[in-house]
Amino acid sequence: MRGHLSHRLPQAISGSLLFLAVLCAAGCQSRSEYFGKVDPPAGNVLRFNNGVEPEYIDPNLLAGVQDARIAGMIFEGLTVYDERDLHPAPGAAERWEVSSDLTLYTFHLRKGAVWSDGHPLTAHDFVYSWRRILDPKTASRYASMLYYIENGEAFNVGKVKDASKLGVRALDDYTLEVKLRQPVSYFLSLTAHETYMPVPAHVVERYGDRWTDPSHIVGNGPFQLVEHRTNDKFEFIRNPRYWNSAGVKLDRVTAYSVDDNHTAANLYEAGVVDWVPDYIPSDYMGYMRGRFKDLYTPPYLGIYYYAVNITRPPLNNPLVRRALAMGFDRRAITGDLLRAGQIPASHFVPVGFPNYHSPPGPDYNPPEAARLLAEAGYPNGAGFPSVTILINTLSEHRKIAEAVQEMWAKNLNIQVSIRNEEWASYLKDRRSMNYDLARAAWIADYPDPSTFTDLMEGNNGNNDGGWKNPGYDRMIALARQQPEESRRMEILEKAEALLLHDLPVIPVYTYSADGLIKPYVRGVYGNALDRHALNRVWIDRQWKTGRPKSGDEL
Amino acid sequence: MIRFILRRLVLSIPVIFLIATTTFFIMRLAPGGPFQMEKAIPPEIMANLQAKYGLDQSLPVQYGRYLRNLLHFDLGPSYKFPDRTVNRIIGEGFPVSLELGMAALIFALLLGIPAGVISAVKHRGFVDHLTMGIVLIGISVPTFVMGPLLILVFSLTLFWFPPGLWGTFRQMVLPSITLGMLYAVYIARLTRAEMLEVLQQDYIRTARAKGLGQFRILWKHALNGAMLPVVSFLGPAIADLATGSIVVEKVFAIPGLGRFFVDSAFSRDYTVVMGTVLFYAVLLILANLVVDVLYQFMDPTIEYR
Repeated sequence: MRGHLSHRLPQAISGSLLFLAVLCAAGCQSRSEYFGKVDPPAGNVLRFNNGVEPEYIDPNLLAGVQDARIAGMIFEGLTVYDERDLHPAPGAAERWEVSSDLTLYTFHLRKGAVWSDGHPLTAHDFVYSWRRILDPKTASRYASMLYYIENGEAFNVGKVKDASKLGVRALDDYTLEVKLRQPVSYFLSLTAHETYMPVPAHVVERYGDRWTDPSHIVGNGPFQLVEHRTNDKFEFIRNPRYWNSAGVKLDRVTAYSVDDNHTAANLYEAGVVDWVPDYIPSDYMGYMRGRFKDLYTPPYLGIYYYAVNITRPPLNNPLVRRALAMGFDRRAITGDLLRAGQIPASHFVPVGFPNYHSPPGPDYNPPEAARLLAEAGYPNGAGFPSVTILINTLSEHRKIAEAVQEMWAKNLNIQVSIRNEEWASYLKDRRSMNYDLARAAWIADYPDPSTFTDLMEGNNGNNDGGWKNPGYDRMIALARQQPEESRRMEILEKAEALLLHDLPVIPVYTYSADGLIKPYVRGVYGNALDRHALNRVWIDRQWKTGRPKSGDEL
Repeated sequence: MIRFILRRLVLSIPVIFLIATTTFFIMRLAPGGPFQMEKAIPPEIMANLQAKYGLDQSLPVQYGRYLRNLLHFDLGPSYKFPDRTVNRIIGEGFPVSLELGMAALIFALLLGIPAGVISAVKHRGFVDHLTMGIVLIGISVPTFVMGPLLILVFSLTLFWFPPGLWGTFRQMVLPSITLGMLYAVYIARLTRAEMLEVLQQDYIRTARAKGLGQFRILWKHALNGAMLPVVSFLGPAIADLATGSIVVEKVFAIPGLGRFFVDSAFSRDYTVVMGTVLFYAVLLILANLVVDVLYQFMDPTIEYR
């Protein structure tokens, strides 16, 4: 026995040494202003982590944020977002005219613009693309983004068979006329969205489903895709035929498809990638915030909320819903748990729309919540039926649900349980109303509050909690016909007030767009849609001594 | 011998058919489908999407079509990544997993065999205890702890190796060690146990009596005899290593095949689930066959019919 003991000693020592080495390393690193290595790449190259492997890079078919980021490099819409304030700027169209009733848009395309294979880019390409995305046979899941176009919806669901009845036509090679079914003041933002980007008819028709293969794909955007390996990366070079190629500063871009957020953070820390636009592990936030200059957390146009199935008792009682909404402290969730830039929200439309002001929602107020619950017939939680929160499997959702669960137990003396399901089962249960309360989220498709208020219309497929309020639907319809902007915002604000009165949703917080960006990556600007054009991005080799980043630069 | 191989191959056909059938129907029991997303899809669009991929037909019809395509080695398009076929996904992912698996195996052999030999030679000595202590740690520490630990020390503190991605030699080092460690310690233990037995044998004593040097005795005489159980361990180990490891592939962001086993099930990517399961089944059947054949060469007393 004695002998054994003495033999184990060296192992114990080496083990402790290893641990000390790790501790020391962590200690040494924390002195830096930046997270990990700061070492610019050789050449005008940007390496960033795009996140989970995109499903589609075809602009007509894509649905995910990661898909859109790749497509946005290869293609360009009629308009592009100005990154700083999200106002639409000229893209493939150099100018446009809008009728006073906001229903007729005429776009003038750049003469001489070509696809990356030299084929001319004309208004007919846009007609082809928009017909394709709305064609029922294409079965695009995001086609509803084009329902604003006259007959768009009817054609998409098969009620109108003739594609020429769609409100889009090429007056000549360089003039595109778009007729809308309603006044849409934000249509020029929609034309910057990926779903409105053109696809090359001559390539799509030739290669079918395989046209997005790097050996076939042709685009009209600033970069050209040269290599793609599933779950690994996309490689781009500058597109020399892009109309503003001279303005593009990067020669190459690599977009990695690393879907594990700790691995992504590791790659950033080791200096293998220069930018991680999201995918920051939430357990790093407490440590990183305020310590590193390369972490950014601006607000993001997205809302985290609990959908309420209002057909089930006790949640069919509005008093109960109000009590629940007032019975937990959102600041505890954003401030103590998530600790990035999230903003507590008791209203449904996130903060960040300049001309829109959400009405006040049900804020944290435990005594009032307890009173409402008593009024609903459950004094001090007595007799409160069992209620379950449905979440999809992810540790953050669980942490948030547990915090809410604990606060409801403390403030209202009610016990709720948590049920977690993997993604596909969760979606199925939500769509079939097989839940009491469900974690839900919505991210803006375009910078207008209607992207949120439309969601709760009675016939909207995303409104899956059984709530249907004719007054609300009337207001949403009224807002659609209103060409006057400030008047439209007023109507939407009133609609949201109604929503916050009925509470078929319990808002929790407004998202933040968290990311890490090396100090030498310049020309990336923060905005509420977290959309970034890489055209103007450049690598600053004099980052230590040169001009510092401006305030809105990330 | 050839008859034996042919017989085994023919017998494996109903096995594969059974696996294909079971997987096909079990998979469809899971709720949801491959095209759902958080944003609701109009029912008309969903119907068109289902029709586009033939998912609107009855299950027996789909099953029949699947089997017909399978006969032509066509595993169909992925539903989640419709611009890629399952054949392409396997064709891209498998070589990476194979590369990782073989690198891990080489590491395991290079570490395991010498460690086992040294332990046996210095039996009950300090080196033996130290080696077997490390072996114990190697067995006890799972890959999801080993990987991040190696990254912390060698990538984020010493900056010797990148913490992920795949392609260069430096990128291969840490994942190979992570994946190979468990195999290395098994091999070390197997080698040590066999060596201890072999070193007691008369012919080793004879060799020593002849005055041969220690190295020559170990290398020429003892090791040969001790390798048999190691080789039989390698058969299933290779099949196991070649099909990839979900944990190591996630931690090190390696674009291998292993992650598809899990990811495709979650995304209800039916064709990819089928493809990876069948591919793995065929690989296992072949690996077992190779081992059985090798046995006969190594030990002529085993006879097959």
